[in-house]
Formats: sequence, C-alpha cells, structure tokens
Amino acid sequence: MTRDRLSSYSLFDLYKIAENKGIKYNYSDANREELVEIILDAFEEDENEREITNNAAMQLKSKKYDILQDYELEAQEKKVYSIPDRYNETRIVLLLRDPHWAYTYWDLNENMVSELKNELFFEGFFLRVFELKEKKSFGGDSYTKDNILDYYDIPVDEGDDSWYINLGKIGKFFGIELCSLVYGKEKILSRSNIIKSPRGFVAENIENISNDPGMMTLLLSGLWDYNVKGENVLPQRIISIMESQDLSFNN
Amino acid sequence: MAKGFLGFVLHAHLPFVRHPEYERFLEEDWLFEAISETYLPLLRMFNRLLEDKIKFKLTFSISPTLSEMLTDDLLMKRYMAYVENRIELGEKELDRTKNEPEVNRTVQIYLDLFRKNLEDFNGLYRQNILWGFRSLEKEGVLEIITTASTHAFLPLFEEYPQALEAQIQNAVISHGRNFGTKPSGFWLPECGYFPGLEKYLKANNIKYFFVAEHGILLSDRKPENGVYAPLQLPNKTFAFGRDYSLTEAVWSADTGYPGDPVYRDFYRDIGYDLPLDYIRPYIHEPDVRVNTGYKYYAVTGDTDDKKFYNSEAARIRIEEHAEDFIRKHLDQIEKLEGLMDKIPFLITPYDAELFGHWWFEGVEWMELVIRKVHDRSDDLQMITPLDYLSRVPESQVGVPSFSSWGNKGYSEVWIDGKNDWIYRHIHKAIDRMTELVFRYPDESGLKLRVLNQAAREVLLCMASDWPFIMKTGTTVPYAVKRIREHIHNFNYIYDNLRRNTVDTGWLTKVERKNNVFPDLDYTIFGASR
Repeated sequence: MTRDRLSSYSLFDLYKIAENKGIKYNYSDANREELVEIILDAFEEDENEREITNNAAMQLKSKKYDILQDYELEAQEKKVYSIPDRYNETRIVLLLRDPHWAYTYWDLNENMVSELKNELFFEGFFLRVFELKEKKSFGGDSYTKDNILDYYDIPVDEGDDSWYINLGKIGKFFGIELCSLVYGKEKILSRSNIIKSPRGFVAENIENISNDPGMMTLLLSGLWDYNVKGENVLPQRIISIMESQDLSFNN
Repeated sequence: MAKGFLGFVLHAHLPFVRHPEYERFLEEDWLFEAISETYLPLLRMFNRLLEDKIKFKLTFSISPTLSEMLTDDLLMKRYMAYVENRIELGEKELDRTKNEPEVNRTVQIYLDLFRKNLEDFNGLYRQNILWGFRSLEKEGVLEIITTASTHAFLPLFEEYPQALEAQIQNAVISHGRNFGTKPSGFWLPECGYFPGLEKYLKANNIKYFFVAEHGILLSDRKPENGVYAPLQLPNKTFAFGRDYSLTEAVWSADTGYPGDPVYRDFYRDIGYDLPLDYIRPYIHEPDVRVNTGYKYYAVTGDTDDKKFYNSEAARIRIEEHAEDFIRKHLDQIEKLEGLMDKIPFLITPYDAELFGHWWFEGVEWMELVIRKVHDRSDDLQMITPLDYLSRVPESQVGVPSFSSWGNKGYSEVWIDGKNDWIYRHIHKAIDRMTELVFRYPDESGLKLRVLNQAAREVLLCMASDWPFIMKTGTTVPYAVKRIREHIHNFNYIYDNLRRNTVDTGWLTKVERKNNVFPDLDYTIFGASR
C-alpha cells in the first residue's frame, strides 16, 4: 500500500518525505524508483525498531491510534504553534527512567552565560553526578560531605541541554549539579532534585527456592512461565536486577 | 467457596480530541471507532449476561477525558453522522458483494453492528452512553473507577505535587459529575507508580490502585503472597498487582489469542482496497484513505494472500480460547494451593479498546469467559478489589517499587529520544501555573476564565498519550502539534497576564475548542499537600 502511495507522489514530494525522514540522498542523481525503495526501507527500519522497543502491551495500545496506514505521508499540519526552545533561566532537572538510567535536562540564563564566557579563563560547563546516602527531608541539604557517597563528572558543551545518565547502582539516591569551570575553579550553577533508583529483590540462590513457599509464590507472580536459567527470555527488568552486582536482598 | 478469585479490570481511555474548527477531523475517529467497536458492544454484552442472570462483577476504569468526550454535544452529534455514514456504506457493500456469499455474510455482521449501535446510542442511551455504565454499576456488576484527569504518567511529575493533586482531585470531581459517585479505585495511567504517590490518592479518598507485577515483587518487604493478594501500604491504601502470565495470554504477539489465523484481520480494510470513486464519501478529504471498519479478511498468517473471514470458524476458536483462559487460571490456582493462607486473587487488567476494536472477537471471548466462570463457581469467582477487601481484611504489608507496565517496566516509553523534549516545557508550565495561583488566589469574571483555561491547557499537555504516540510512531505529527498547542496557549495566557491584558476574542475561541472539565477551578494547582 505504501509503495503504491509513494509511487503516486511527485519527485519533489518524495524529496520532502526523504528529507523529513532524515535520509541522506544525492538529489542530483534523482531516480524515482530508487528513492521510493530507500524511503520504504526507512519506513521498514522504523517499524522494526518500534517492534523491538515496545512490549506487547504497548504495541497493542498503539492500535487504538491506528486509523491511517500511511499517516506519515498524509499528515499535513497546517498550523504551527510557536514555543520557546528554552526559558532563559538556570535550572537542572533529573528524571528517573529505569533502575539504571536517568534523564536530565537543563537551561542556562543567557546573561550568566555571557558573563562566564567573558571571563578570561572560562573553560566550560560540566555535570557532576552524585550518589547520595539519603535524601534529606524538609528541604535539608543532601549534598553534605557525609551524605555524598561518590561522584563523577560529565563535560558538556554550551549547546547541550539534556543528557542520559547511567546510574550504575540500584536502590541508591542520585542528584546532579550543573557547574562551570573558570581557571580551574568550579562553580555550582544549579542543583537538581534528588531521585532514587528502584531497589531490587530476588532470591539469593534461585536454584534452591523450591522449599520456600513465599518464594514460590513470587515466582508464580511473574517468573513461573519463564525458564529462569535462560536469561534471554527473562524480562529485561529481571535481567537487570540479576546482573547487578549491588543487590539489596531482603529475605 | 471458590478456590480462586478472578479480577477482570478494563481500562477505557482516549485523549481529549475535539476540533470544532474543522467539519471533520481525522483523529476524532479514535473515539468513534472505540464507541462503535468496543464501548457499545461491551455494554450489550454486559446486559445480555444480566438478562441471563449470570453472576459476574468486574472493574471498569473510564478516564475523565473519555467521559468528557462521551458527554460532549458536538462530538456525539458527529458520532451520529459517523455511524450513519457507516450504515450507508454497509448497505452499498451488501449490494456490491451480493454475488460473493463469503464476503456478503461478513458485510452483514458489520452492518448489523452499526445499525444496533445507532439504535442503542439514540434509543437506549439518548446519546449519552455513560448512562449505560452507570446503570450497570447500579445493578452491581461493574465497579467504575477513575484515573488521572488527562492520563498523565505520574512518576514523571513526582517533583510537582501540585500537578499530581490537580490530576487526581479533578479526576474525582469529574467522576462525581459524570457518574454521581465517589470512586474507591484509581487506575494509575500505564500502571505508573512511584513510592509516595499513595499520599495523593489517600487524600482524595482512593482506597486502592493497580500496579505492574514487579511493583509488588520488588516492594520494600518480601510480599509473601506475590501478586495474588494486595499489598497494604502504611497509609492504608491497597496496591493490587497484575498476573503477568495470564495477561500475556491475550497480549503476546507470538502466542496471544488475537493473532490466531482464523480471527479477523485488523489491517485489510476496504478504505484502502476499493477504488477511490466508490469509497470517497466514506474516507477523509482530500482523498485520504482511512479505516472504514469494513474488513473482510482473516489474519491467515504472515502472507499477503489473506483468506476471507469466516465468523463460524472464528466462533469455534473463541470457545477454545475462552476455555484455555479458564484452564490457565485453574492451573495457576492449583500451583498456588498450599503456598498461601488465603484465596488467591488473580488480576488481569487490559485496555478496553483491545476488545472489539483491535481484537474483533474479544468481546465475545470475554462473554464466554464470564459465562464459563459462572458455570464453575466452585472453582472460580469474579470479584472486584473492593469485594476482595471486604472478604479478606488481612493483607501483606509493604510499599511497591517504582514501576509501570510499559516496555521493560519503568519510564522508558515516556522518556525516550523521541519525546524527552516535552518535559522541560510541561514542567515549566506547571511551575508557572502554580505561580499564577499564588499571584491571583481569588479571581472572578474575565480573569477567572483566563486562569481556568490556563489550568485546562496545563492538564491537557500532561497527557501520556502524546509522548506514547511519539515513541510508538502512529500519529506523531498530531501528537507533537498537541503538545505545542497546549504549551503555546498556556504561555500566551501567562505572558498576557504579566502584561495585565486579556485577549477576549482568542480566549473565547480557545475555551470553545479545549472545553474539557467545564467546572475546573484553577486554584487546584495551588493545593499541593
């Protein structure tokens, strides 16, 4: 169906579709059939990626929005709503994505950036990722020396505004500072909220659980239908927990 | 006494899509297809069971945005036009296929469906199908619960208590207006939970909610009963976990029931197969081919050479699959025997739109499952979480883990390279909305209208549907447009208020378009606990 539809488009429209899909193509060598094939391949690649990166529940859910088979070709948005790229404030936010990854986005006030860049020995910006013992309640400072377990830095460019952070440990607290570096001197520009990566719970020895009714019930709850020895068929979240070297057991 | 309890949970939800600025709008068909293929057929099925005096009870979550659309005059008028158009197409199809008996029989099935829909919609429900659900709740066969106002994925708003409160409190208010009751249960959108969320639920008198299985399995204390009994949280709310393997029996792409070769194929639709001149009045302008609902082929297999759909063959398979589902429950209960000190509660939650819309035979399958459970009441009994809590007051104790039912079980569907850009804007809008409540704590007249609309725009941009669509790639340009529209509208209001001006003409236009939650009070964004 998509092939028929693509073939009915003018060469100019095909260029536009290819461009929208981010396809690099030497337009001086324009060949209609070839371009249709390249676009079809790109669609198929997207489709495959969606299948791989979405579980059954998500794939089924997407069907309720599936009213048009060639949506990418048909959708022509007439009205474009303008929104700012940034809000001209210095701020950093941390969001938990899964036990191992977090997403952070930040913004920098333009005047502050100008002032920093005017400094003779401005070296750049960086993120400092902290592993913390706990999150202090009632607005208490969580970044005190005795509460910081570990940290590492990620240099970022002025044009960057977000990053995916590998947390590395489960069941721990994390926070981020957005910092500048001028002549070797660090300055904290903004601190993020604090997140906690979810902790894991699984039997210490998965081979010897058959005598433990509680553990058997747990297995029935989610693991019974999987071959617990064959890691490839275990849900990713369970694999993540089992592979981790930093499990917090509670049995 | 039954050996096990079975808990069907159906979650009905669609994002708020309403475009009075166009005569017809493509994405409004999401609602019309769901009414035709899922909601009305489900109502008929429940009523059939009632008439046959079958004992059953299930939990039905209806999202506030869906409820608002189902009571919107413009959308319901458009639904009438939609279903009349489909009946006209069916009549033409009956004639066109009169010499193809295999196809003709299937045409008749669809035509009957649409005619019955029109009859029920106008006659039985007087264009408000929520009455159908309300009446089933009064009959005691449904327990209707609510979900977040615009179906926000709540873990991504953990740092924004005012937004959590707005999503939950407004949902309870909307539920009261539409169903006349206070909901006891709450469907966490996408089963998205983070420790602490229960505080906001409890504050709004919610007694229980649902989580993905690993939410219970990885809770802060060893859950002795796994997902087969709820977890009582320290604040006395209850978390019920889904049974993964039973849910997968329906969901699995490889072994799930809907993919059976004899079932109706979702993709082959005459909207794509028939000549434009013929199909033009039933698709979108300008000649945009869409699904019409008339689909004549069976799944068949991984081939383009599809077989015609045979409803008789499908019926035999539905019976087998209903029996298989029951057997899977009984197997699970048998395995649990002796491991638990209480009767296990097996929860299987599904998106309602899966039944009838994607899985055409799904409604009939569910009816058969319910009838079979009724016939085996010595083994199985269908109940709701409230029923369970009144029968089994003792629960395991703990706090579930951060979890969702999305891919890999956490937030990755809603924070991804394709959609992560939206959060800086949504979070900013929430912050600014709270600032507006602080600046204007008690307004009336025009300013009150402006502030209420600002709150509506913030709620609308929080919907989990838009990042979900961006990630799964169905109608991405529309999802992007919707996020941009609500952020733009909010920022326009915010900037105008800072200048102390109001664009009355613009406001009236936006109020008429994005008219969800007519009784929304903007100060809800200042009510964080």
